[in-house]
This record gives sequence, structure tokens and C-alpha cells, in this order.
Amino acid sequence: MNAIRKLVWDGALNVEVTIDPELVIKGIPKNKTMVNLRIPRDSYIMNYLDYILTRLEAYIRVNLKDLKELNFWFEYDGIPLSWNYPTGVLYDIMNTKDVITAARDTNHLNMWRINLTCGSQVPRNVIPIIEGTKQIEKYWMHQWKQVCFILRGSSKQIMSISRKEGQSFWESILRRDMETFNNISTRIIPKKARFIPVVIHINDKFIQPVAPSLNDDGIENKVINITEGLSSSEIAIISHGVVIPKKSSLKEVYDRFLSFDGFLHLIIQEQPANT
Amino acid sequence: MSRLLESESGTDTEGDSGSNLSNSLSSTAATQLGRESPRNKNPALSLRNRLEQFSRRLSQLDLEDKPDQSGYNEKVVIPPEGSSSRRKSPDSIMHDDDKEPSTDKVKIKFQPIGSIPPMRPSVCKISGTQPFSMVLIFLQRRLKVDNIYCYVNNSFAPSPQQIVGELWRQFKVKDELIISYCGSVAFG
Repeated sequence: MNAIRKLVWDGALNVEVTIDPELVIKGIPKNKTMVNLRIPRDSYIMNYLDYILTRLEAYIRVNLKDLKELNFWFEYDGIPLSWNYPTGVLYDIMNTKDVITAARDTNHLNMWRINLTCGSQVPRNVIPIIEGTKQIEKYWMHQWKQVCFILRGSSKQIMSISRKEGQSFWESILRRDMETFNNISTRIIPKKARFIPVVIHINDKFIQPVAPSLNDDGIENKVINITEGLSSSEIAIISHGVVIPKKSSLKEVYDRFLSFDGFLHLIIQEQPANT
Repeated sequence: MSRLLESESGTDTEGDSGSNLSNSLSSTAATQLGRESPRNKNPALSLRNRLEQFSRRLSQLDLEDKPDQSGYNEKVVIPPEGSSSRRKSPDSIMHDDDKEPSTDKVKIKFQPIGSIPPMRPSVCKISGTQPFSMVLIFLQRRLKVDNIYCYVNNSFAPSPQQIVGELWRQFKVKDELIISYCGSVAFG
């Protein structure tokens, strides 16, 4: 289990970010308006905004301070990305076919090409960021409180974490400190949970089902049990870029594949009828 | 049920909530009433028909404590004609005193924290398919405040994109999703 957790924690994406041409000084070649970086799958893409803007500062028409007045968001293929999901989830939603191909071909190298866009108003599916990174941290903490409530029936366990520990918990994400993350998350996640925090992403929608860890007969629920009826076609279930066996125990999959926000994100890829 | 009807008559006296009540009354109920009134020239007959319709609708609600007919007759509020059109969300949030039974609507109980005004009535119904952001906008408009912070079960702030019906299914207490709200951060 630890080996899988380590692989999940270390999972990263090669991302090429191109900034909105409106922001760039005229005459600057396109290759200067791009930033290549490796982003952990288990992180919010918005955490890298300041880094990207700082890297491109020399080619941007306005001062960085003035940019704070604008709203930024990332887009893939013209579709705005909801920063409040882990970066790996966003990639898997947008590239499910590539995920399955990459799983079969170990020599496959992916580069995710996305755009950084700005405007006075954010698109509908994007939560506006008003308080900077502090807002992202608060959002993430409330996600964990929700997770704690689902797992334990109350948020007392996470409320009992000191402010200092809460800060270390968040910083473990930024510093990629798996040990600190595990130390605190294992205090929140019980060994036996009544319900599992799951988010299912299917056809541009997301569903947060009530997912009991045991069925009515006291037998462990399987992943397929919570995805049944979502699609009439044959489906593949993906988490962290990995195709999950449908008959795996839901709790076991959660323990191995939970994201840094405490949820198990499952991406459903509908298979064509002839495959 | 008597509580619901009392709440209904109570809100009718409040100037601000009067418009919301008429907006929130089911469009079918109001249009049916509106359509029937010209046909029934006898006002007594018209009133009886209306009361029978409400009675049928109430029986469909299948509530535990059914009111006695006389009490119901006294407290029923007939919406003014022309109030049938229901505004789109977030004003489509329905109060608990609305009569139309609907399977996709869920109950939300609002609890104020601190000095923010209480919601009257405190229990509302909302379409389960709406995102949580609609609840935030609804509260902002009803309470006429710029900032609102909402928490489920006094614990966590859900994402504005989360679907109200899913929150209700996962976190309901006695069939109600308990939302506490505050004008500033209450649970950081």
C-alpha cells in the first residue's frame, strides 16, 4: 500500500502554459510566452499562478501589481479549468483517451498544453480568487472538514488539529512532504469508515454520491457498486491516471488513491460499443 | 402542517416576504387558480373549488400531522392572480409553506450565527439540482447583505459548485440540510 501511495503522491504532469497574447508585449516571440513546468497531480494548478506570472514578468505589458486586479484562469482547448479540483483530475477529465493509451505504452511522454487567460470576470465554472493563496488554503481545509464529516459523521477530529498542525498540513502539499501529510491525514481518516468521500467525474459533470463502505449485507462495497447506472455503455474507471479494476474494494481504493483534498476522485470514461 | 400554514400566513403580513411568497408559490397552483376563477361566477363556488384543490394537493404531500379542515380553511392564503409566473433561480427557491409536492425539492433549514438577521421562515425548499452558489445568492438577496458565509452542520463550507440535492442526501439531519450562515467567517 505504501508503494502505491508513494507513486500516487509523486505523480506529476508535464505542463506547457502559454499566457494570453493580450497580456504580452507586441513583437515577443511565442516561445518566450510559454512556461514549461512539472506540476504534481496532487496539487491545485492555481498554486503555480504566481510562479508562472513571475517567470513571464519581463514579457508582460503591465506590472504584476496591476495584474492582481484581474481574474486569471487556465484553459485547455478553450475550456476553462476549475482550479478547485486536483490538477491530475483536470488532466484525466480532459484526456481520458490519452490516459488509457499511456497506461499501455510506458514510453509515452505527454505534454499538456494549456493557456493562462485573464479577464474582468471568471467563467461560470471557475471559482473567483479574491484572497490569493490564502483562499485556496481555506477552500482546501473546508474540503478536508467535509471529508472528515463523511468519514466520521462529524468534523471534530479535524477541528481538534492545532492551527500550527493545520498550517503544516497545507505546507506539506506545497513542499511535497509526504511524511507530514501522512502523519496528519491518517489522524483524520479512520481505519473503519461508514462512508467514503468520493467524487465521480463523468461527461463534464461531477457527482458526489453517498458511498457506504459496506453494503446492506455487511460486505465491502466495490468500486463498480457506486458507478453502476451512471452510463449505459461499457466504462473505464480512472484515478490518478490509472485504470482501476472495477471489482476492487472501495475502501481499499480510497486508502491508496485518495487525493490531497481527501476525496477519491474517479473519472469515468465511456468506451465505444465496439471495443 | 399547521406550522407550515402558520408560517405562510405569518409571511403574508410581512411586506418584504410577500413578493417572495407569491413568487415561490407553485406556478401550476397559481395558474390553475387563475384559470378557474373566470369560469366560476359564483364566488362561494369558486372559493370551494380552490379549497378543494388545496386539500387535494395537501393530501398528496403525505405529511404526518394533517390539519383539520376548519383550521386549514382559516389559514389558507390564496395568491393574487397574475402571480403565477415563477422567477428563475435563485428566486425560485421555495419556502416550506409552498404546497406543490415535488420529489426533486429538498428542505433546507437556515440558522443565523451572530448578529445577522434570521430567515423567516427558517425552512425553505429548493430544487435539488441547483448548485450551492444559488443558496448563497438567495441568502444575500433575502437578507440584503454583501457577504455571506455558509456552513453545513456548523462544520464546513461546501464548494459553490456542489449540488444541493447531493449535499442534502449526504448531510441531512431529519430530512433537512442544516445551513448556518454568518456575515463574516465563523468557522475558518
